[in-house]
Amino acid sequence: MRQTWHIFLKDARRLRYEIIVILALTAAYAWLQGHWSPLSSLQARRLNQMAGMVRVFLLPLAWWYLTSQAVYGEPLPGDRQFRVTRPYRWTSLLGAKLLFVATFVNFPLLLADCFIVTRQGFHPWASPGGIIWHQVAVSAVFFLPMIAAACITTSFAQLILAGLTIIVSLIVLTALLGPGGDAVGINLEGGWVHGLLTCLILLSAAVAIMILQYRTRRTWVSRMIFVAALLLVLCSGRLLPWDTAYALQSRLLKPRIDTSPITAVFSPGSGPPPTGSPAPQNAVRVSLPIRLYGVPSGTTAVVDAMRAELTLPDGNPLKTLLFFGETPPDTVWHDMLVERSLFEQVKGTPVRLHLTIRLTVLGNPQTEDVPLGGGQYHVPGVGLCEFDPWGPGRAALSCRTPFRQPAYVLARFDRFDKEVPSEQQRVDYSPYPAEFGISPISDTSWLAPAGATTVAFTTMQPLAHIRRELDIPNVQLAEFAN
Amino acid sequence: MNVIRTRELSKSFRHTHAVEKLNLEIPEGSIFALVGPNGAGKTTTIKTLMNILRPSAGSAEVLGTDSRRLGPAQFSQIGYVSENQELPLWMTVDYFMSWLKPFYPDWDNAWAEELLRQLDLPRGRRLQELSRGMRIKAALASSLAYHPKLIVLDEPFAGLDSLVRDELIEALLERCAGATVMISSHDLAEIETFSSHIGYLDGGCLRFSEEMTSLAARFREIELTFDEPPALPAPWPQAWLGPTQSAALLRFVDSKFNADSTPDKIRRAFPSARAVSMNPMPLRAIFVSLAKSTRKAA
Repeated sequence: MRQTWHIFLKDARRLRYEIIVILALTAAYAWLQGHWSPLSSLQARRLNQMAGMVRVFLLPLAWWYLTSQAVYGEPLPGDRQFRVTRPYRWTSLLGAKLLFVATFVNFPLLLADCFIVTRQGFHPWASPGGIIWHQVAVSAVFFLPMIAAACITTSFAQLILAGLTIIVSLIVLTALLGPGGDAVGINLEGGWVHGLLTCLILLSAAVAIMILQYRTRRTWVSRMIFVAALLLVLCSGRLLPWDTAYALQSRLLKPRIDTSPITAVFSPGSGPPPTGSPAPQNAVRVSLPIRLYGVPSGTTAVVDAMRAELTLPDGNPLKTLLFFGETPPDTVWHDMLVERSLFEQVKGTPVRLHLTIRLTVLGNPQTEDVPLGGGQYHVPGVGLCEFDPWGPGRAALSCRTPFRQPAYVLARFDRFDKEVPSEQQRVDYSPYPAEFGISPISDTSWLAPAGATTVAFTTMQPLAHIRRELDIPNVQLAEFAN
Repeated sequence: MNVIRTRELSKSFRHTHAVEKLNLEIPEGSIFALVGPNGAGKTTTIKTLMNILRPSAGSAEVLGTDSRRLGPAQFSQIGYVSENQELPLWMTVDYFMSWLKPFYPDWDNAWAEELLRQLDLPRGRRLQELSRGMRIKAALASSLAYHPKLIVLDEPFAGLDSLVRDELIEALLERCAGATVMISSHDLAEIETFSSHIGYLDGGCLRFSEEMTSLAARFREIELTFDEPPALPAPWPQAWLGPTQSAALLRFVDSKFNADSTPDKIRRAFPSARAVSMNPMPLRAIFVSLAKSTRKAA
């Protein structure tokens, strides 16, 4: 520990000016982000733009520079460094670098988090898990990979060059490989599993590189690990198909309700499908109606994703994967686009349909009515909400909450001029107490329809993620084409 | 006891064999000079011994530890100075010394002060502001202040003026009593004045390794004078290197000179020789003849 401290003090002395700049930038970020406002006034917009610029560009770049410079104090690649024949303990050296980052990057960011959360109207210690997790997540996604990248380069210029090479290579590879399988987008339900996989790959590679470099200085092996990790991240969609991602999500959430009575039923007798966007000229839209039965009272089942597999008369399968996450209406429609020539061939012939449905059962609903008007409202479970009429007939309702938004929020806007309320919902099933990102404030905006007078927020907790299989042996596509 | 011992030590870089099957022993307390032409593998050998490079084959022991396992415990007893070492240039000389002090349990403050004073190092100046010679001196001072058991110097005199070189050698000799010194250098004239042992490396292979006195004793420059051009013995003895012949004069280097037997051997080989002179050779002349003969053989 004494050696760790000794090296840490040396780095702090060497990089004192850079540290001052970082602290000033972090303070500026804390002030700007602390004064962030959802309102659309010119002043608020300017402030938000500046906060965004500092948060998205300046601060990460400054962190990157400082972290790299700390590592370059004792560069690892090459064989000319004076330190390699001095009695450094690799654990002390690595410990000193981590301590440096924790002190001059993590700790100021922690203070900034507390300031921002307090300034935005929340108590920082109301969510201690969020504060800690935010630091852990930022370290895992940003700081440790930054240290790892510096471990395999000798200067900041080389690091930037390597970064540019990687970006260009990734663009070329993405173009060659195409989209990453049927990856679930990071913002969709279940997408957090892919985010987690990406983080785990980056974190494992970063830890492996740091240990390997500080212990044995096997630079080429470490560089190979770095490249392999990037390729894995690029291919994570292929490595973890949607069904596996959902299966993993199901396993991680221990069911808190008996879901065995829930069944999915093919319901040809349902009314007409909702009007959707018109199908392309060379295709026909086929809408398959599915209904859910046996959902326990006091709970709601939401269809997250559904895969339909049609076995055509020639034996060839036709697969469609759809993501929903919608408030469950009576009937869920699985829309398929079938090539017109193929449709003409098979429309009158019975085909076999197999559906794989991923559902989330939500419960413990809490509803809060909020009048839309001036001022801020604290909505339990949702956060601090503010109404902003920013144009004739147009208004936004912005809700912010520290570290993460609730798992499920449904906003129902009542309109004096219409009977059917306008509904919007937000879903985030990730189990973490904080979202990935630099800002500790999670902001959600709702588009308030013209004429809305009140909004009813309903929050629910996920109780179980389940899967249902549905096999329908004889379906005539012509009956469901629209 | 040997402070350094290698067994069939080899180091290759892709298809280049920098060091091949090196068997070397450096006894405790000796000042061992590793010499050889450019590209002979001296620096690679030293870097492999210091665990900066990993051997491709064979093994090396330094202070009784496998070179691949050299760690803080061993490095606190080793002083390593290299011409191409990258020092923390932002540090002042004073800070450099005080920075290193906590790493060494045997750091001697008074000794460090003395070294700085005798080597005339400007304490308040940053290393980046110092000349190359001064930086080497600073590195040397920082490597002697903890009384290392083994001092390894890789081309420490390269590019230095003679005054600085003399100061370094003087510092080394005065302050390394009891330590084992391994030094690689091109500067044969300087090496000759203080080395106790010498190893000659060429093309990655160790041609010989022996005590300096025995080397000086077994090399002689032989000069024979004839009345008319002599007939050369066939086959020409392998130990006689670089023969040059003019009308009445024959010169070569005997690499296995023996005061008892060599005169007879020469008389038998050249019965018509009118005069024979056998002169001791400076180290430089020995290595020039060795290098020439090696290249000729290649």
